Amino acid sequence: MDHNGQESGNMEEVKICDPSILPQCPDHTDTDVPSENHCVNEDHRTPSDPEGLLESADHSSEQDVLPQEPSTEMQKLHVEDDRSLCPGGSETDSGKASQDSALVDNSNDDSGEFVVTVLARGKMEEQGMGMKGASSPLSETGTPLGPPSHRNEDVTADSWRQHRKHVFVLSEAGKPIYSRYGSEEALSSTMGVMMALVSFVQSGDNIIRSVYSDEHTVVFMQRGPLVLVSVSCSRQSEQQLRNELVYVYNQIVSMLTQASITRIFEHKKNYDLRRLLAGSEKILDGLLNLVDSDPSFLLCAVHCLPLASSLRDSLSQILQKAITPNLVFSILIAKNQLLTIVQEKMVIDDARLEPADLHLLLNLIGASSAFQAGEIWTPICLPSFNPDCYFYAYISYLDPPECTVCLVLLSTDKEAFYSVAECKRKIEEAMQTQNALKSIAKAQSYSVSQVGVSDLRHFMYKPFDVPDNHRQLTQFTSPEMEAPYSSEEERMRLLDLYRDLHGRIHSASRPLKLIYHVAERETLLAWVTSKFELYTCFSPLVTKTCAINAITKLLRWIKKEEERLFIRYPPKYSTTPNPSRSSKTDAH
Amino acid sequence: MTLRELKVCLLGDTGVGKSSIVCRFVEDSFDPNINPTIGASFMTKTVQYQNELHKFLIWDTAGQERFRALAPMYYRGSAAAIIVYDITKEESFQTLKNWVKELRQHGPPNIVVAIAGNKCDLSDAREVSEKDAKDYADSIHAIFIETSAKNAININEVFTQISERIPVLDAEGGSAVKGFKLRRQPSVSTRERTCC
Amino acid sequence: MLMISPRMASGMQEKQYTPSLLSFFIYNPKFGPREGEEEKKILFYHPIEIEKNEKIRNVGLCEAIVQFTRTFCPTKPAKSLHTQKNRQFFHEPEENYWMVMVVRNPMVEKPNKDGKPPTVEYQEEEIIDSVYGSVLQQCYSMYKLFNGTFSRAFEAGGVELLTQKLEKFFYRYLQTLHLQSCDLLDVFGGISFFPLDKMTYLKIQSFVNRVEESLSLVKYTAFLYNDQLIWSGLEQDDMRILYKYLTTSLFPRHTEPELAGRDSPLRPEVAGNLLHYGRFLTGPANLKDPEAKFRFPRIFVNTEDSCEELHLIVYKAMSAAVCFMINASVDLNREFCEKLDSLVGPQLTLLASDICEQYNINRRISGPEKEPQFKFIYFNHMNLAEKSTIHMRKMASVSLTSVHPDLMKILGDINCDFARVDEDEEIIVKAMTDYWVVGKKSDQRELYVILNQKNANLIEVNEEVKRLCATQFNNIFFLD
Repeated sequence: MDHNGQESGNMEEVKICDPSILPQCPDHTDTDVPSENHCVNEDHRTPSDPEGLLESADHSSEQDVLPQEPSTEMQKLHVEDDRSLCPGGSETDSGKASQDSALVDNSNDDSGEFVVTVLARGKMEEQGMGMKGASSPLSETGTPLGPPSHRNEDVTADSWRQHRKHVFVLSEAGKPIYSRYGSEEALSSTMGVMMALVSFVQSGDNIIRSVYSDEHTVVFMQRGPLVLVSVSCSRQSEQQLRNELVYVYNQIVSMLTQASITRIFEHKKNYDLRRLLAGSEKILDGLLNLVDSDPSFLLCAVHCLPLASSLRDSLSQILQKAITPNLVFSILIAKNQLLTIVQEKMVIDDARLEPADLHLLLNLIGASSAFQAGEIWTPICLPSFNPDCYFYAYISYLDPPECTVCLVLLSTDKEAFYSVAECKRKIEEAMQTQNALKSIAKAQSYSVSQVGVSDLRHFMYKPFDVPDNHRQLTQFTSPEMEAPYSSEEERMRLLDLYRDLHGRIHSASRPLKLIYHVAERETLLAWVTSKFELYTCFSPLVTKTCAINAITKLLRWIKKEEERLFIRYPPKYSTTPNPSRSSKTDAH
Repeated sequence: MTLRELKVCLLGDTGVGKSSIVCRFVEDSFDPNINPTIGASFMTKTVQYQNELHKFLIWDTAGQERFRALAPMYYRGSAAAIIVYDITKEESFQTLKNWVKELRQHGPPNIVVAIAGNKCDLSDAREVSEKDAKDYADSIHAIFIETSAKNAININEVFTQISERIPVLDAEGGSAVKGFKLRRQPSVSTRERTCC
Repeated sequence: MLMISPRMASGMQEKQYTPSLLSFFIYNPKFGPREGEEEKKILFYHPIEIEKNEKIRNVGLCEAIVQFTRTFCPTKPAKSLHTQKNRQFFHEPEENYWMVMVVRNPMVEKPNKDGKPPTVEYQEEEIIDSVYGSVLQQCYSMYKLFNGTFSRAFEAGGVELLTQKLEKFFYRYLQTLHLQSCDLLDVFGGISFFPLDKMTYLKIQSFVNRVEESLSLVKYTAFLYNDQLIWSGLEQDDMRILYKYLTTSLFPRHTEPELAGRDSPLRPEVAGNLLHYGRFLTGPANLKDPEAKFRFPRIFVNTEDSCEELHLIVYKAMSAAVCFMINASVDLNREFCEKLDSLVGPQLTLLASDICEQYNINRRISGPEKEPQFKFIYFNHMNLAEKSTIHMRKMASVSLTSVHPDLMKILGDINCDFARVDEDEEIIVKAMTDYWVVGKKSDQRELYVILNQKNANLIEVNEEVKRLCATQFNNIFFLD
């Protein structure tokens, strides 16, 4: 069955695969092979809806990711012993699942009113939203290693309250999925309250957005069956916090795909998603640390490592030459910054890799040392590109054991590991002949002193018009943070100042063109034009005339250095011998 | 001396020590703070076995549930599967049984199965008795060995015993085990398998 | 309140709705701690028609929100809740007494073709928390001015008396809230002072001293001219709320007879040989009336410590108004009022015309007023002095501003930014409409300037503001 599907699917076509890695239940599988549901879309660029995926999958395999039931009635009956989601597959598991659902059914009965009454009685802790007694699958499955220390935090301690930013993810049934600090178990009643608040407001045909206190901003966001909550004392704008939650959501999607998440909760409202996210807490932790410390996320732009354009070009050429069918993106990373990126022609024409997707990818690689061992082959979804499909990522460091230069090759073919690995060997060889690793090692970020403006301490510049291919990748450039911003605290303080400016200048209802802010310890200027967005930091005593002159100089300097600071002309390759125009017609 | 490529995959619950076993075998090192594998990690190591060189193409798979459905991709065409459990976690032994079931239904016929009871250095916290595991392994004709990646106990032995069980070369016709060439499209093996 | 937006969507009109009060309630969770008794918590609920369970639910939500935020900081619970359709503001002025004001977000109603109901779009970012939070706090201060604290009423007459008082006060007061025109001035809650030369000021002071001497019952006095304060013996915070009451409620209600002019036959106060224009704005409307009642509103001041209950006598002659506050235990009768009238009336009339004259001289000296290139708001946290050239005269109903509401909101944003740190700061922004807005904070003083010079650059704007500071504020602001 499968190979039939594959044949008709035309191997040469760029395929995007559906989320077929959802766990199978061996016991339920009668066919000999689990699903291999490549989504053979006639147009590989447009994300297909999950339903569409299922339909097309039906033709190529008998067994879908989740068993397709003939009727909804049947489906209902099967929900409770649907063990396709629980490969542990043991009786205890499914038994527990039905228990869980009973519990949640209880609390689902007008949970809003429930929580209100409960809270009024001040007995929240005892009641625990009917979840406290519920199973805690995380502890059952067992975290692979000693859990990171902040998961053991006492959630009633002051130190827990004083964290700059908490992030919680929960399911619509109020089940904890993730908490940045403190264990999900300890926080299950708190998260139950969050869900109760969301559903209570919802029951009034309204949507909860945020809660403000003198200390905190609490932002609620619902995405499909997931609810994300940020509790922050960072004073960031609501919009910024919301964007950060979108990153968290998308990182989850990058691991599971949106289609699977939707389907899982359609089948079982109180499914414990931590089963599927086990081991990935670190990735979310890492993401949130990056979001706090790396302005790329704020600016929605990629920071690439400054590099002589000749070197960058030759690296791109190396990537350009090492190709194999269904390879769509070749990405070279050094020191967690982008060196170069090469895209498949057909992909680049109509779609582009969003900075947001690249951030998730970079975070995934940076967050886990697992990539430093051997060659990794893993499915990954790029949510902005297509939230419902997987790419297959080949990830390997080129300079073990230092592990600073990383190659990422993205293919749409699940089975392409060996041919993609071969591309890596070609790239490795070519880089060796050119002694590229040595040149890359020398590349580094620059100092603001190179600009030659005495009062200028730091800046962030995001052009809107990198010529020709600017649509390919939004980038920004920024020097190292140097004194007085060398300590962790000071760096964060400067970033916070930038965040304030960014929040105001991009305010949804009252955007501004320019902000000049003279504060006690620095003077800041933010400026948005049709061509660029600029944030600068000066010493506090700079005069306005000096600041204006400095900016003129800075813009001139950036223009001069453009080639080195940005990826100017991103190259392309073609891995589809018959460009998709023919495959488009073939598919019909 | 002939070089045989043997594809081996490691299966088992998350956190039982699959990557640590591979790491000990390939690099002879141990990292107590190793991160969970994402997707699967591919590594090779060549060892001499009698008058042959056995190049192990090792697929160290992630134990987490979300990668579960990927497993067929790795055990397909494998000469051997090492299913690992943690002797201090009864549950991981239950998961192991499910893997055996899955391999029996969907794995290559004649795949050599090795059962490794890892973390035998932590016998104080033992939940799975050696005898029970051994009896189970015998009942399915699997290799059984208790290991400790941390203390380098029995790691090489697992692979040696796999080498021992691999049928000799001329038996190729009746065996799913074959040293396939790296450059060959892996999809070929897919097709062969799915025909059965 | 409905405003027709000038925007037209393909011939069909969009309707723009300004923020409005959805509900306002006061509860105390300790009053109905047991299940089934939730209704007892509710001390006041507007609108009254809301069904009981709905009230309980809404109060429950507030409790839940407050409780929830305490998880993260026990001492600083929620101040506001933002939802798609509305914003709720929470204020706990006294322990366990919670006041909640729910304001509907402004919205645009876009008509649909084919007879479908119109699409409603809520503008969720238009309301500034600090402004409406201040409005809610003002509600309490105003209640307290006339009733004392919540707990005082509760201690005196239990929940019954408290709810009576709340209903009596808020039923009227809520109708005077004009949420569509709240802005930065509500955050400041400042007092506009009447600019005066030293001589005239001394005259007023000696007038106050004389009156207080002759009428020894008078405990506190406040003197206003043209709705602006000149002299006050009250504590600042008490004066602030009293000032708010006088200028937004009492004075506007009495403007009409004033406008009728001095020769109006309606003026019966021509007594004896001395002509004066004095009259009571509180208490007896007509002293000659044999039926006249000598009841004055009671106010509560210094509620933090001694809590004094006082009669509030407001007496006005032409543009000058004096408040006399007398201990509430004293019985005020016709005799006293006549004495006050005959003593204060003539002097105040004289004083009023003196001030008027002086004021006109000063105006002439400073030259003819030409339309300036800028408008500004100034506020001094130390003495609550407030000055705005943006606002027209504050009326009972609406405060009219001469600038676009969006610019007013930018002022509000800058004010929020200033509130974050204690240090002196300056923020200059250029709006999308190319207006420049400058905010300066220096030593407890805040100045906001809106410049209508669209082609100016940052340096020119800076020069302009420097000039303004030099002429208007004697270089209070030293920042570059």
